[in-house]
Amino acid sequence: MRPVYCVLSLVLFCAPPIYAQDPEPSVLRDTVDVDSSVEPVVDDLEADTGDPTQIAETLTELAARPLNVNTATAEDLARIPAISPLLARRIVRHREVEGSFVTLDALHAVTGMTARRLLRARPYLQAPLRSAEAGESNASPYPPAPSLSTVVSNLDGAVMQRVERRLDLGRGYSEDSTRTTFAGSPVRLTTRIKVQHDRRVRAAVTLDKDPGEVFTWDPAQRTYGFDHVSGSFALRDFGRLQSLVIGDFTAAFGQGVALWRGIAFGKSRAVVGSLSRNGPGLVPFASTEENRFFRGLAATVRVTPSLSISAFGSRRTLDATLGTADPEASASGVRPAVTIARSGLHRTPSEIQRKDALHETVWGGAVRGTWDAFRAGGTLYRSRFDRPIQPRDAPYARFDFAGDAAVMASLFATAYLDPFTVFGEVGRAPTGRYGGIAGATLETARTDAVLLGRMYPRAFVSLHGYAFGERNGATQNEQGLYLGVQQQVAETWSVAAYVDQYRFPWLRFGVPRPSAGLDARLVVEHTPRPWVEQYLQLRSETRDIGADLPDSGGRRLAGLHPETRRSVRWHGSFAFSRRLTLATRLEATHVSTPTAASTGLLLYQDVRYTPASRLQLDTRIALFDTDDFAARVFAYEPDLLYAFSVPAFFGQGQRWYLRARYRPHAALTLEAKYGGTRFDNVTTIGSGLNETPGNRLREVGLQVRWQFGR
Amino acid sequence: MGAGTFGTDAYREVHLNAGYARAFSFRTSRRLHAGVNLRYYHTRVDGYGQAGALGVHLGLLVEVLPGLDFGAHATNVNQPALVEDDSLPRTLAVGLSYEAERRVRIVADVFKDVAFPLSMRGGLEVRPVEVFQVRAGVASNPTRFTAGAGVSVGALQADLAAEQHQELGWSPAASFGVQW
Repeated sequence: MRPVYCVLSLVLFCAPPIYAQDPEPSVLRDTVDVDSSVEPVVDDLEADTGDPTQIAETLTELAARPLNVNTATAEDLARIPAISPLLARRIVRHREVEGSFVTLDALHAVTGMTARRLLRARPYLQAPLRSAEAGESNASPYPPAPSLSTVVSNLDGAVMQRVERRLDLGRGYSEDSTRTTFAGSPVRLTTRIKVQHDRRVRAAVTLDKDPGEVFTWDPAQRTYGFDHVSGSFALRDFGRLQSLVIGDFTAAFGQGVALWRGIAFGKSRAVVGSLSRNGPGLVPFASTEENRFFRGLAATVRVTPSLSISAFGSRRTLDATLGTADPEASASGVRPAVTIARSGLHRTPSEIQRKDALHETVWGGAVRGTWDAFRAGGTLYRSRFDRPIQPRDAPYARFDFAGDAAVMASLFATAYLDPFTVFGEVGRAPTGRYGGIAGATLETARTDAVLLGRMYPRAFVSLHGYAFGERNGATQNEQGLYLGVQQQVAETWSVAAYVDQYRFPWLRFGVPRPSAGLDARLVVEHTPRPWVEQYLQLRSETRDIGADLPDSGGRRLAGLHPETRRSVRWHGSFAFSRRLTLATRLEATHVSTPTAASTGLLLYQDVRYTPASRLQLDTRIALFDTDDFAARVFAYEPDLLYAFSVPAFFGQGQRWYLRARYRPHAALTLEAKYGGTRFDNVTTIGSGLNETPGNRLREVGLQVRWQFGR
Repeated sequence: MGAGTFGTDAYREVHLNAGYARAFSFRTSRRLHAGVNLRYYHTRVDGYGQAGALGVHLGLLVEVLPGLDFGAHATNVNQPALVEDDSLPRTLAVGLSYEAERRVRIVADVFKDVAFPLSMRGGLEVRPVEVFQVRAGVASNPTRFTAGAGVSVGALQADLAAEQHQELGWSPAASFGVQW
């Protein structure tokens, strides 16, 4: 009996995984959803880095309108997480030389398109044969503008309403006149309305009230019902007009050294991933995120087919804590802004007071050109505040931005020298300092590698930049070198690793000395069948953190000591059928400093069950056990569509959730989620206004989405 | 169905069990076994009164690759408690079972009780003849060794097992089952 088994498994192991299961592409598409793309990118995000909501939104939208692999531009294809800019160029070149892709499986012929990459890219791609209309040769090098009647008769859109609420409330929601409490109810309300025509005309608005915020009509406080209102009207590909946005938008150029509002990927399990960026330019925005966007008018025009010019103007308010006016500095008594608040929460009197306390006006533009395998461009903006920004008089804030105006410029370029891509960006900060990032990637059929160096001097103030770094966000006070390699060892095995060494040449908040760190990760992935996947991940990061250290005389000095965080994770997933998917994870962390050490553990079991085509159920039981907050563990959790959560667990307890998605009608989607975390051996959870009596935190969310016109 | 009791007249625990499991195929050639078990816990202490609670246990078993099975088991998922805020042990175990040879099966799992450190367990089952099984296993946190034997004849299955613990010594167990 035994030899038979061996032979059988050998045969199956050798078979090309994709073809083995399903030749029919649409069959797989239902089982792969956006969660699986979002998860590796954001799994290790901490709450304060970037905005995952936008990633979820962008990918969901992309999945809702898969790109036509036979007509999409390289730029569009590169928006798919699994497809690098170079791979996107290869796809385009392949179809120019060899003709259209008849099925998505034909993409295997493109160098570097491995089975697993195609599996990940599949939800965002389709391969319809060129229709007669699309094949019609167009005399103009610019896309023709659709007629108004075409637009009006082909509109589609969606209306969505979400209601979420915590069931166990913190102290902030209590009736307590002696202490600060939240002004509003614990309910979170989110409304989204979107109307569009084939990516080319789009109007969207998002209304959001966070928990604890008050739902009121108060023009004096700039609150019109919902606390946060965001929206835009946008046109795309109208002849020479590449994009036009009225309202809210994000701007992202080059590698993000000078200008990058919007989503960006940092270090993640996708080791080579999208570290070589390709700024998408001006993108319409309508999201719940309250800081990372501009508000005004923006347009990109194609001067020639290979050269485009972008310009934008923005005037918006920011939340800021004001300091006291310095009579010497300003006769008018204007109070300076000390810190800009990014939480977007307006629940307590002090949070409400700092709302919209600062106005920022930004004028900017960019020029970008593409010449065969070379792309280059430059961007420039000028930012002006209505009151001076005066950071705290503390050593760590010494190089923070000060003043009321800033001009920043950068130049960027990318060269595609297949199989290499060389890219970089150099910026000049308002302080006159230069900083930037440069890197190169190698992409062959089985090997991907990236080498990336960054140098952002301590006085390199980038107000709107968001380039790659250890602290994904602040593009300042950091130098580092990142080397990552991903190797397809065999058809079913892949090994990936990176090492990132970095240094902060100046102090940071809570770190009273220049500091350094080393981050390394190894991921071994095994995909014995397309429907069975497992990986083992080892991580180790050592960095300096602030500590009170006694000197030789016994005095306590503000110093540094290294903190090492090591973790090991095994994750397995198994798609039993289209109806049922299982996933299991075991993760252990160990955090140590010279004075303390702690460990943490997470074990979870996921089940996704689709009892009928209209109904999908997702559930997880997770047990966690960590010695303290330092050893906390994170795990991405599927949420209501467009919502997002990567909760951190610490202490000892159990987490459970159930999400149900029901589509009674093709146009109507109902979703509900109930989740609860129960902690052992505690009588209260959290601190301050979030201090919650008891040992449970439960939350419930409901969502209705109605799509029309499709 | 099952029942168990522990203790004396002054302290008495009673467990009542009712379980149901079945196999699903979801239109594939593979099979998945899923089960639910309801357990009623009742404890009576002389002079302190009595309390009862119903716990829900869930389990599933599926063949991932030929010869390789994956199983997961969660107990008391509804977080029942005999006394308020002191819930009964909630555990989650996930493991693999591998048929190394026709008569040899290797099993390993991780077992986590919310209130205790993670325990790793491994074991071996050998069938010298078709109706007779010998088992041995080891577990960590705390370290325990187990040994057992079983006989299966048709639908009937009888098992004996014993666990050796550093401090507690040997604790025996026996079970008898009928499958239909």
